[in-house]
Amino acid sequence: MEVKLNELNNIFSKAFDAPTEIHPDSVRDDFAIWDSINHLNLIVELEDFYHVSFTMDEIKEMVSVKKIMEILELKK
Amino acid sequence: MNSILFLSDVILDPVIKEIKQLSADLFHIDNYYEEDIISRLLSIRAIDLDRYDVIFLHSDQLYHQKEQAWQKSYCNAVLGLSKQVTKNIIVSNAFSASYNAAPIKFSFGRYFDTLTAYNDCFKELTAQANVFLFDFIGVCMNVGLNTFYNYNLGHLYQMPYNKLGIKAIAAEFVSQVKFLSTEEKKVIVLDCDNTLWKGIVGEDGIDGIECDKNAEGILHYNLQLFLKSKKEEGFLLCLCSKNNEEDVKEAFEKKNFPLKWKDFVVKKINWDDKVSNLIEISKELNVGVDSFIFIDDNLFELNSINELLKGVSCIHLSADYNNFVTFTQSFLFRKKQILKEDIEKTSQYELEKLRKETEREFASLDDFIESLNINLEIRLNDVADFPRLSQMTGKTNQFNFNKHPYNEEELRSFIENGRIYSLKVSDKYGDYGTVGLIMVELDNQAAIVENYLMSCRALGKKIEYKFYDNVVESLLSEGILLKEIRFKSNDKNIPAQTFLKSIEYGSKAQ
Repeated sequence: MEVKLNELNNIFSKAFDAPTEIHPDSVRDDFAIWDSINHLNLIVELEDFYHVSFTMDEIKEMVSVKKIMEILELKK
Repeated sequence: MNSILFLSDVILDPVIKEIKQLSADLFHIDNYYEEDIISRLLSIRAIDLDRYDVIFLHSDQLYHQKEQAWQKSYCNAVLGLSKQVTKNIIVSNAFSASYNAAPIKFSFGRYFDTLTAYNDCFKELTAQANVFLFDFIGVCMNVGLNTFYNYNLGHLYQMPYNKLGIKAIAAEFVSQVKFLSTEEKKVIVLDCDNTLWKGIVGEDGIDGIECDKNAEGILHYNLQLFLKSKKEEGFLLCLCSKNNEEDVKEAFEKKNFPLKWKDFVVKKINWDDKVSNLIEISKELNVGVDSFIFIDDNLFELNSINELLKGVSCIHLSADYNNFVTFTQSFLFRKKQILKEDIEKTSQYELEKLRKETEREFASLDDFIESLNINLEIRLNDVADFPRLSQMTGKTNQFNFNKHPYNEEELRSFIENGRIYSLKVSDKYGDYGTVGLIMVELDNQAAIVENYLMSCRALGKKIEYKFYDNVVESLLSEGILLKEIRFKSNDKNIPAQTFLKSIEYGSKAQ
């Protein structure tokens, strides 16, 4: 699956309910707003947008843009 | 604004985020997650809930795999809370399923076996006037269980729903709270051709129209069955059709429709525009158009009603059966509760029509009223009738001194320092049911009329004067003087304003 950065950017903004700018090397610690409830919101939005389901391990690993893209690209 | 408390044994933050987007921050929501929801319920004190209008309780027993015994204790805890507080409680009917379901041979299925047992608990719970059910199971079924739940998220974050599930819960919740905080619809106005039946009676003839169990007419047949059940719940049905009245009447006579000609309380079958007809219906029934639902297949008619008559809920009956099913599930067609008075509504209006027809035969209004042999039965603090009285405080618009809805609990606490006089009326044509209510606050030997309301079907027969005089006289006989009448004008209670001006308040009171 091909994942576009601008798509991801929109999903982040929607999940965090605030305009958010991400870069390929952004990590969770860069964003104060990326707390556990927003991580939950992010996973909900990603699963909905890409029609995928993440395992518990994947959800825990998805703490950087790079890792998110990697995991998404592995899904088909 | 509605202030709402959420108490749930799963995390509902994403649901609340969705609710806020849907309702444009119409509600203020405080959200508590408590895994041991029973203990939390048992420890709540009424005072903790003071600042909330509504309490929403959700326990996802399917996700938590709760046992039947647990469900019972949960329902009992909710029951206990509902008796302790006067606030409206919305409780979700989330259900459980057991891993060790009975073999297929003996079982209705994983879900339904436990549902049956659960249903009994819920019946007892929702018998409470302040408890309303949130149809979580219906929401789940509409989405589909496997699309609804997300157990990975559940076991990491205690939030076990997918986006589609979150959206569906939020949408249902917003509709329900809006429904509970607005007035329910009372009247359904129906077009005939291509609405109550397929085809155009004036062109296709009686034999050319279809409304039966065959594929061609099934949608219209089932629409009629649906409307028939709504009539039984207390909705008033009316016809509004561009047709020759004889043609429509003949269709009802010759065809074996589920609905009969006499099921419609007002029929406007003519070639006038439907906006004027709806206004006429509203006048005849004494019910504002904002209590109307209008169903038609014609978009032109729907659009003109939509633009010119604010508050009418317009429904487009298309040929799409799925669309029909969706609107039958809408809150528009729901009642908050159904009482004896609702079930008898259509016959009440029929009696009223009969009375109006005889009225013309009399020389004066007084002669007519005399001929009715009106019998008033006034009761003091009739607690058994409080469900009806509470309903009246919410639904009566025109003759209402002070549009303030009271729930049963609030009525019960009112009589600690006051009196509630209620009025049942009958005449030679039949029973009106409970139609009037006067709430009197007592302050030593003085009385204050806190509220006075009278159902519109009793108005116009001087009943409102007789009831009032009776109450004032009975207070006087105990040496209690009327010192004040509380009244709040609004744009709907004109009949009450007229009454207030006309009574010689003071002459009898002092």
